[in-house]
Amino acid sequence: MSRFSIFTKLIATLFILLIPILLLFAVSNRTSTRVLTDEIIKVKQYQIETFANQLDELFFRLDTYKKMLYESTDVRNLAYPDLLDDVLDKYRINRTVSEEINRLAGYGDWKAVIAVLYPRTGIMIKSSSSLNALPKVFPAQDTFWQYYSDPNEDYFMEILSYPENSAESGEAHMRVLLKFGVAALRSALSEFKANGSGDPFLYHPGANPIYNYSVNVNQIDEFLPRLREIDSSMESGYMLLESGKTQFQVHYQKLESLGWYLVDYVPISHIMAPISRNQTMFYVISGMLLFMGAYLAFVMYRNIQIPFRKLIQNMNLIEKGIYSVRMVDKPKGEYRFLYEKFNSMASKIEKLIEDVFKEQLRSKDATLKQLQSQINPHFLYNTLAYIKSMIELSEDKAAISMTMNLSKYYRYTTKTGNKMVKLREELDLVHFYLEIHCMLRDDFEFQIEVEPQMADLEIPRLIVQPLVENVILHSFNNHSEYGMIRIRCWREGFMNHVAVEDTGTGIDYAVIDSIRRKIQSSNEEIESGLKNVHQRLRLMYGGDSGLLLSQSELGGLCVELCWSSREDVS
Amino acid sequence: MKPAVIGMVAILFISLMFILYSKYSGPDLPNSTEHHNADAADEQVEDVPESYVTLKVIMPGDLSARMGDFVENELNDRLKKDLNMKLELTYIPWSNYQQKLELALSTGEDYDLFWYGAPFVSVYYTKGYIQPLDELLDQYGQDLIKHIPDENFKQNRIDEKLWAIPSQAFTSAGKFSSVMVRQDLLEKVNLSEIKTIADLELFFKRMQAIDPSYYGYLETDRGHEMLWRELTDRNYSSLDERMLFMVDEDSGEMLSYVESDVYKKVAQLRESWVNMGIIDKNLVGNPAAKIDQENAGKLLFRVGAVSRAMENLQTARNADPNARLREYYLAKEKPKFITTPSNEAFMITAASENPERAMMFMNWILKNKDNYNFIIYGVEGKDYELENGKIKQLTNDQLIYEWMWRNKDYFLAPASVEDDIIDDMLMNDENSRISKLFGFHFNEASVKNEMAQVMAVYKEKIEPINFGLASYEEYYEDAIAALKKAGFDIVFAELKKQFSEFQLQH
Repeated sequence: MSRFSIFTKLIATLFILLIPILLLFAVSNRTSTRVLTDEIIKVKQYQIETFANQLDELFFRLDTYKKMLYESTDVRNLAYPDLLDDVLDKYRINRTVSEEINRLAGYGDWKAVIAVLYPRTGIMIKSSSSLNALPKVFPAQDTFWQYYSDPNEDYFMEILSYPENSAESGEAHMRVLLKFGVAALRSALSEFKANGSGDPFLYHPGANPIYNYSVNVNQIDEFLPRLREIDSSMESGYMLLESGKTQFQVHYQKLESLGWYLVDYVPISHIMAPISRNQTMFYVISGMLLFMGAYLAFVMYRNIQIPFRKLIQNMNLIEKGIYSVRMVDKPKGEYRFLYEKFNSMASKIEKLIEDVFKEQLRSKDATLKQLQSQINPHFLYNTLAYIKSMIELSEDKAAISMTMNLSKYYRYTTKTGNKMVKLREELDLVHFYLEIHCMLRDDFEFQIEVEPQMADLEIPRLIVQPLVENVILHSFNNHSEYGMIRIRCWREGFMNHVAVEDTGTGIDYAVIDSIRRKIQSSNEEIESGLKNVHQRLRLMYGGDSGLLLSQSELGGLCVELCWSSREDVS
Repeated sequence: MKPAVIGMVAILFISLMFILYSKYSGPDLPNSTEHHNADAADEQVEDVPESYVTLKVIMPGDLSARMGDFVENELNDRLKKDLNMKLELTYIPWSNYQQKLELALSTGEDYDLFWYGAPFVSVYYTKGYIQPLDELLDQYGQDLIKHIPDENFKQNRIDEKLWAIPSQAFTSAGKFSSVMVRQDLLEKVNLSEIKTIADLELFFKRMQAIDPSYYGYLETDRGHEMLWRELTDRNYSSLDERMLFMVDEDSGEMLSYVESDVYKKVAQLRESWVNMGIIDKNLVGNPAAKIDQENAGKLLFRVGAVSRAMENLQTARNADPNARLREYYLAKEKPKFITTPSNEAFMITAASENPERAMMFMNWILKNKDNYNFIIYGVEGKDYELENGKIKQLTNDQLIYEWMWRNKDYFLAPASVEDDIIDDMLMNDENSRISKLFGFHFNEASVKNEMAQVMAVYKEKIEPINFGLASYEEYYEDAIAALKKAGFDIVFAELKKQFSEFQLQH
């Protein structure tokens, strides 16, 4: 296994993929934002500069009108009505001046009130007859576009007196004055606003700002304290101001004619909003991707990596020979199947190993018992005594027969090399064994029936002999009558049967049942020949094999070996 | 495990969709807050035109501060909702309205709609400044037809076509032939009413004795008809405000006013008024200064215009809170004549790009009381209040001039105006007759050169006599000779020809 888990690798890959993209995006975004901001600054500055120039031009043009009137002979003549004694002349000059003023006032889109005042006669000729067109009192000094506050309407006014420098001493013969109401400026600002995007207004420290008609006053009020910071020597510029969560570019341009600043602001963060929204969206999506990736990696880690690691751990345990390990906490999906297969594999291996081991034990056990019975001193003594008496009786044939049987029996039992023998050989052994006992006791006979096809069937060694031995030891011992042992071997389907029956003492069901239970119990401490046989059959041939006990039709017990001949069962 | 994964993916997907959605719908939010103050125009929604246009309208006078505000913030919101248009008003000061208006019209600037007096309809028709309105009226002007009497439309029909909307539909008989006086001052000098010219002179004399700063009479250009009622037994009506020709309402004859006997009487009377000081010779050539006197509350009387007592009351009260105004007809028993039932005419320029909208806009004004009050008085509670069915304005700033669209169906009397003045106005048309001039338009096209010369001479030579500055005895011979030299007779002959043709037709 490598040093990093899949989880770590996946996360690292995600980071490696995402980080360059994020970096690139951030850089490109910053560049485009900067370019756009610069462009907005340029455009806005150009806009307000143009508009400021228009306003300046307007005020300078009005100033020109002032000079024209100032220079006009007719206008001056009216200052000296005594020189014009003809009523008609006076009317005509009056009319001419009035028309001239109206004509001048009518030029252009933005209207100023133009008036000529003759302090000596108290007569005033003006372009507007509206109420409050002009203030009631005029400043004594000559002014150049001075700002005045008025309850009706704030205005800018300039005055020029004739003769020159006569205003201070109050001796002016004639004063030309121009008044420009802020309403016209507000209209101009509104018009500018309609063509542009901002919210322009005119600002002068210490005076009420002049707004356009659809102004956002609250917004501008927030800016006003900051606008005081404008350096009065600055002609134009811009500053960045924060208001709420919005960032504004506030541009200003000084009007040469008025000395006021034309101010306009751009909610730069609103303009940038789509970009920053895109940016946020990109980051959010990246974050989501990262999260999704991490989550997927985590899911993979949990669903694949962890079960896999457990599987490997258990494999290692199996390798070390601990077959009892099983997978617990089974996950869903494919791993469950794998776990189950692992568990069944482990249990099968365990069982197989156990079976083989137990079979070896039992078979050794059987061999041991058989050897014990061989060296059973009674058995040996009896047979030897029998042979001696037969020889004494000169029953040579019987002695020879016994000797032969004994010899074949021992040859067979001592041939321990093979665990499996043919049924025929096993039955031969039984035959010799029974022959020997027959001769010794001479109180029973026996009969062996074998279906021919079963003769060559391989069976475990010494599997039938214990049954026969059991009959000899238990059935005929306390029995006085002549007995009979019948051994039958037959096949039904795949099942092979070897039955050992006797005519011994009848046996009731309760006893059979207790023996059957004894045989089938897995308690290792209970030892018996029948149980040994049963266990060996089961180990060799599987669950449906074993020993059957029943009452024989011969009157005694019938012990039947059954096992399946199917190869796969073993 | 599985529901959790599905849940996560679903949450991520939904949030992604939300982000994308908000990106496209976010910035448009302000739109929804735009139309909040149109409250009574539900029924108009169905015929809102699709394209959004700007209607350019020329108005006389000065834009008041409130009007600028009102148009920008309230009126245009409403018009956007109702007609999908906005209004752009260009104000031309009264003092040079005609000059600047005609300059704009002749250069074909892209204005759509403008106002002027009814006599100018035929002038502008002749010059080709305006376009016929019959089809537009049929299609978009049903409320105009409903609220303006058929007769009023007739006066603006030339060559079987309609050329202007007679926006005012109110009493109009004898317009400009009455005299409006400061009733409070009249009573102060123990006079109760004005019946004769002598009453006016007495009023002036008595006031001068109390306070010499008061001055008498304002108009020097108009005011002839006012005097005719007493100075002659005949019933004359002036062809137009240029005071060159008049018609004899009894005989139906077109006459040359400047050559008539009554002209001489008027000129001599004016001369005597100059000498008495009723007309201030220093102010004659300076029209703005004369209005200043009125604004200052120093004017005793001027020409009336049926409803001027009501219209000018506020101005007078600004100067003198006790001011009251009243209009009187000299020789009260003589009949009044309706020459122009509506002197106010709205015309759509020939160069207009949106004539339909101009008509829709005018129709919108008279569509219902809400619209009418809104455009004239503004926002209820903010600009005006209603008191017992009378209007009380909360601001002095004018919006759309009330007199332009004054309508008998929607008229609201100002709360400050006494009932007798309102009654005077509402009953003005009693004892009235339709003038012989009704519906007649003098087409000057064939004599326009002569007319231009005549007007130049008239201004130079006749006007000083009109004003009483130049003595009739001394200057008349020379003036009338110059006038005739300029082609007065040719113009007069053409006028008589056209008028007799008109009379034959009607």
